[in-house]
Amino acid sequence: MSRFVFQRLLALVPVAVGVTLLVFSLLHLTGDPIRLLYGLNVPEEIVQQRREELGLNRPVPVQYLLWLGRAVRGDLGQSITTGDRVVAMIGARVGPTLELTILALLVTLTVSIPAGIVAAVRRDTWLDALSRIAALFWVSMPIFWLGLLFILVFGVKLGWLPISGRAETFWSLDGLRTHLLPVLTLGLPPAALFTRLTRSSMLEVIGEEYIRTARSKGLAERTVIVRHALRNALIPLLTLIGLRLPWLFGGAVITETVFAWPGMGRLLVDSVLKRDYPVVQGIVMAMAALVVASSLLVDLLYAYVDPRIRYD
Amino acid sequence: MHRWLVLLTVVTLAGLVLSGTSPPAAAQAPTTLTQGLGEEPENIDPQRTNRFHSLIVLSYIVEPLFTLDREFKVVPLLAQSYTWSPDRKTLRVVLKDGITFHNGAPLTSADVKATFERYITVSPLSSYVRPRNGGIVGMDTPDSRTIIFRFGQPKPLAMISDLADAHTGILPASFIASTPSADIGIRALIGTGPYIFKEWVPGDRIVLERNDRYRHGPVFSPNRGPAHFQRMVFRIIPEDATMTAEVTAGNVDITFDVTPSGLQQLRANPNVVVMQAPTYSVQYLVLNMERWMFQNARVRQAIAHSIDKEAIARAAWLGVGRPVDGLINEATIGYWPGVKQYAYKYDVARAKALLAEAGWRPGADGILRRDGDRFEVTLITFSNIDQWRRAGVIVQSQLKQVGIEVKVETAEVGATYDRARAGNFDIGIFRNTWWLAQPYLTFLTHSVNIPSSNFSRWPNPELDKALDTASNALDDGERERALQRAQRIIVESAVWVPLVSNTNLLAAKKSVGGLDVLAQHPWWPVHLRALALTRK
Repeated sequence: MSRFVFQRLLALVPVAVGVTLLVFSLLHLTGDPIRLLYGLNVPEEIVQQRREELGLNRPVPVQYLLWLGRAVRGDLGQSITTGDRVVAMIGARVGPTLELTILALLVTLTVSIPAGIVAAVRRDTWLDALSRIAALFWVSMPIFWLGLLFILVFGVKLGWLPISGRAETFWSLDGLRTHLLPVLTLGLPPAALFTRLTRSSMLEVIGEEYIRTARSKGLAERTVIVRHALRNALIPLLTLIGLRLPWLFGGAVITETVFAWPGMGRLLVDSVLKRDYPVVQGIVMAMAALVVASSLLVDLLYAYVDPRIRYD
Repeated sequence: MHRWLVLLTVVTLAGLVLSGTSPPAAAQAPTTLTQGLGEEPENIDPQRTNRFHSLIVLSYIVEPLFTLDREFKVVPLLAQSYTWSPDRKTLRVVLKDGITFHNGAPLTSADVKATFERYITVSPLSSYVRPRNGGIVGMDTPDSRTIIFRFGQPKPLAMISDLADAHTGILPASFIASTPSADIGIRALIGTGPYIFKEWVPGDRIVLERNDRYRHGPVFSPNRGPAHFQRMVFRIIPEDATMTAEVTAGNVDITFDVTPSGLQQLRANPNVVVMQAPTYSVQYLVLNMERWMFQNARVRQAIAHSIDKEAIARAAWLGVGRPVDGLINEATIGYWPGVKQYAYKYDVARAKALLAEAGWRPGADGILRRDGDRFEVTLITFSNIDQWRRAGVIVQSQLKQVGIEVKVETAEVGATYDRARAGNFDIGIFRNTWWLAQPYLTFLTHSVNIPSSNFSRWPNPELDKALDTASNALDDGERERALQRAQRIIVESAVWVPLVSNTNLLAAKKSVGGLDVLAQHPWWPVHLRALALTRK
């Protein structure tokens, strides 16, 4: 098991190098960050001086190798725009993003698993139809639009919930209230897909021999579904979670922008617009690491859910 | 039983969540003013930044030696008095007595010297006073309240362009020496201003606390200190629709980041006040003079006559822009009203006549031709700013009316400027913002700035001379006349066609007081915002 984990972590290295190399090249194609930062009112001599200070006048491959050399030692450099250390900037933003995505995933699963089970067990009833209609509605809803809709209804019209910003901690009344809208915005749309998958997966499992055997032994229907069917039906769901994690981080970028959430996603958008190479590189690396780590966690959960899977 | 417990827990939680209607953070205590910021400052280091949103926040915390009143006259702030030597190469400044920094240390001439040394070294805006440009070549501190600036050559604009600018906000010398440069304006900032830097939660808010000892506000401020609010919270809300919603819901007391798209909704809200003021930002059109067709003055004048600026203000700026006659407008120091008489009026018939005089005849498709050449040009502008994209399309249709075919090509700001510098365009629509006619006009139109910021690629010795005189002449009258001459040459040339100046927009709760004080100043100086704003 530990060997498997080590191998997976080792795989992060080429991923990180590949991703950062791609981002580095693309960003450098878009032009000069110093002129963008300083605007037109600053004379060329001062722009040139700043370029030299930051090493931006060197060939791009040299810049990348220098950056990579520092990154290996844990130094992601300094932001071009703020002058702050990139590690510190990411450190301040990674918490809110993780909080948002994990809570959103919990919302997704809390909504979709029961809804999927009900739709499967009550197949072809009005409940099933309702779940299908709801799924179609949520899957068609762009995150950006949903966020603004929530703001308009719950923030402006009803005045029940804060519109934007984030309280210091989740574990307080203010925390709970500030988290609710962004978490629902990010968590509800994927729930549609998860509900449909849970339903089809449950239907497949319910038709298996061992379920029939369990029923014939006189076990309560609830026991049959929860104890016997659900565990096997969850395996495809885990695969989907693994596949959807990058999407969740992508969705967080939009959600954070709409709700003025102080996470990594918003920092990424700001930094891309300002061509702040070091910050973009750092965030891309951090996100790649998060995706790889999450995928690893999903793989480990396979072994827990399905005893037939072993990584020895 | 446990089912009831679960139900009870859920109901209790829901009740808790949906109870109170007060927003988080910036709890709406009467002693707190919450401002919405549409962009997060990169840092609030007065010497390192040149961004507007950084300037807004740092101006509450640090102060320059001088400031400007509503007539743009220099007014002492940290300074008590000043004297220029007759040759304008030595400036002696005496500091006010009894001013202290937020850390309790008294303000001394050593702090001023250390700040200006840092400003000259690191600020992207210190070009005018850098030693190599004949700027500050030495500073003497004969006593703790006197500082003498020695210039390499006469620098008549130094006071207004540098010493009265928040970017020279004075920091304690000990703070500069003991704090890593990258931490200044991010983790710490100490000044003499009406507010003390308390906290910055990246991406979320910047919190300032009132400086209770502050008593030296500018003479033109109705409140000279301390400020009315105990706390000033700047909430960072980058999404326009969210900002509009926050103001509508009353969670943000005031914002200076209202977009034209949110204006209608806010105006319809009975609890919100919306105010407008001119900005010194000007949207303009520039011709690439390396193109043969533009070298004929009649063609340039025809293009200037073809542009209906009112239509651009209405359609591109949704009514929050005003047509302008010159490359600078009345909110800019050095504006000359006389420029109006040289501006080209919208007149399609005149434009067509001028083009005909220049030898251009309409072809079968209505597009002008001359010696087999079709009048077809490329217009570049910014893709990511609605008002520029729309202006490009409007100009395209207006020039079509006179027989000029325009192909609009947009890209984001940096890429568009890169292309302009490379000369890979025919017509460009750009914008610039500067509160001083000089050095602003030099940046845009002087031949030394081809192609870095003068995209016209049109060296004009007469214009250069006027700009140099406006920058360096010792006599105020001579500088003023030279500046007027420069404005006239620019407009008459029709190489640049000024289009629209947008307006500053402010939206505030009706309960916010002091807005009338701001309204008396065309540009709502930040210093005034810190001291005048109050709760009715």
